[in-house]
Amino acid sequence: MNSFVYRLHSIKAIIKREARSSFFGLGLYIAATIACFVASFIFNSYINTVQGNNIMVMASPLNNPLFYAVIVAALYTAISSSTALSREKDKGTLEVLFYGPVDYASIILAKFLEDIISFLIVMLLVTLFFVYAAVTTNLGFSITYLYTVFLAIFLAASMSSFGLWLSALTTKIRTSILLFILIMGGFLGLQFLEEYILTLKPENLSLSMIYIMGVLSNILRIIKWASPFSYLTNGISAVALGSTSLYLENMLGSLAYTVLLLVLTVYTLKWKGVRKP
Amino acid sequence: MIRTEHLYKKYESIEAVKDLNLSVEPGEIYGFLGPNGAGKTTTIMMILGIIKPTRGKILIFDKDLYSDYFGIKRKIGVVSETQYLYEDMTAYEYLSFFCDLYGVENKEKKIEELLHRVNLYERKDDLLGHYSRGMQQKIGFVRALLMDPQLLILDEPVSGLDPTGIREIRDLILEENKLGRTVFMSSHILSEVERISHRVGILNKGMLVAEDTMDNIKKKLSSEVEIELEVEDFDVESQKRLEGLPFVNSLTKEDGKFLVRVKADKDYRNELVNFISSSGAHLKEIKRREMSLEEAFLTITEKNISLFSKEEAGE
Repeated sequence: MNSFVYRLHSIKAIIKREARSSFFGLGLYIAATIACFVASFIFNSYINTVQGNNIMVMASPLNNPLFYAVIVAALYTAISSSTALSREKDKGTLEVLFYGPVDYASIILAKFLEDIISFLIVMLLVTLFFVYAAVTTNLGFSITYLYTVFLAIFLAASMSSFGLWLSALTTKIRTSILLFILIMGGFLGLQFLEEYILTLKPENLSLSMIYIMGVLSNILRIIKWASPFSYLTNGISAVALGSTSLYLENMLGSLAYTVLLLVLTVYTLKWKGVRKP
Repeated sequence: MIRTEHLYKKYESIEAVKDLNLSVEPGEIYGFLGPNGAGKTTTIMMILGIIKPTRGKILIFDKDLYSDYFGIKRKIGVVSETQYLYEDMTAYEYLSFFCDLYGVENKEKKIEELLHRVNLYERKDDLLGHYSRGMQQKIGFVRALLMDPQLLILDEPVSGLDPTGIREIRDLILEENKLGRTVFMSSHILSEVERISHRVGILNKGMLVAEDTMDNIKKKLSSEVEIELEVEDFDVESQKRLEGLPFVNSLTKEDGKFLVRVKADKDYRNELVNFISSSGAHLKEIKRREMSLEEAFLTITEKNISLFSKEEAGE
């Protein structure tokens, strides 16, 4: 057997173990419950609207609740990924895996694929809830639901690859979570800052201030590409707008981002090592 | 089986391993010794590809690890000082996972057989988090043996175990060696290494200062050997003649027994027995006082001496 087959074999064995751990753990079900809970709030507001006005006109009524459900599921994926490697380093189990036929690429790919499988399970549970909600509330399914779920896989992939990179950088679970919160908070803050800058009227600002704002805006636009959140929000906008080109652009962007981050994770893990601190 | 050539590792300003040339031959038990911080674990981690050497070469099964990474790793069983198990798994689930990882066929049969050997079969469905340290160590051994490895790398395998645990692990190592497995074992329990190793390598301050059989190391360390004699009717004249023999350095009397210091170039016990018989004395007991590995180890590490000749050291 060649290295490729051996590597696939190792990846398969690790995915099996990880999937078992996720399946028997609580995280996956908590994420699905929160996602359904958030969606049910929106369903409830729709029902209230129908009750109050006797009418509600909306092309794809399931889209909005689905967007929030996707955000919850993707966040779960990112949090789970951000501790995936650091947890094993912290416990020393990563070192033991490397005694055997496991290398940097195989462990990272295995963790990544297992995250995607977990995300799909959450989305499957969410979809079952949506089917139930659609039947009981008479809010119809549309094809955009499938588009969104398909795009969500790419968004989850970018979130997972980002989480894995953070996890490779750290050696303690607590540090990983803190770093995740800090960076995610930073990215969200940047998005808000950009939106704030866009609301400012140039006629109220001094010339030097306009220049600074212009530079800042460009920097923010570049930094935004590093945030997995931007792929999530852009993807959701693409589906809402019904723009096929934006949809495809976002899908390819997420894919490129994922590949880049996974390669970066391999090098980061090589640099930081797999031994228990 | 394992060969390192000019292996060197530097951490910032600290030289952890310096120009290490060691060789482990197929079928042997190689004891890898050294005081704490000598660089033993760093060496093992470099052999396993977990730590990257600053420079130098490592050959396992005569191949560079990265020329056939997965193929080589599938033939090596590793047991470390601490097992770092998945504590939320049962012993059976854990071993089953490693069987999948190593591609072991008939895994149920293999796990069952090995768990019986270490007397843990009855506990196979218990969570590993509930296992004692000794039991965890045994599970580490079972994990390392699942794929019938050609090479066993053991890093302090009996550290922290009670005497029964040490004996069980020692027996396991010897049994596996009899089956043809090469064993590379680091340990600070010198008596264990002395008892089971065919050859030892002593690492001090990152440098290999001795690599040989126990007997040869002791010979190299000592220019004379002590032989204890219990003799009756051994007159003063005969004692003086014995002292004058060319291979005898000195003769003293301690607690009614004679202590003869002879040259270490060969075993002179036959010559001594013949001499005493010819002198008309009655020999009741003759005993060669051996230098223990501990004494040899302390001599080497405390005096910081190397047993390699300049040619062997490649200078």
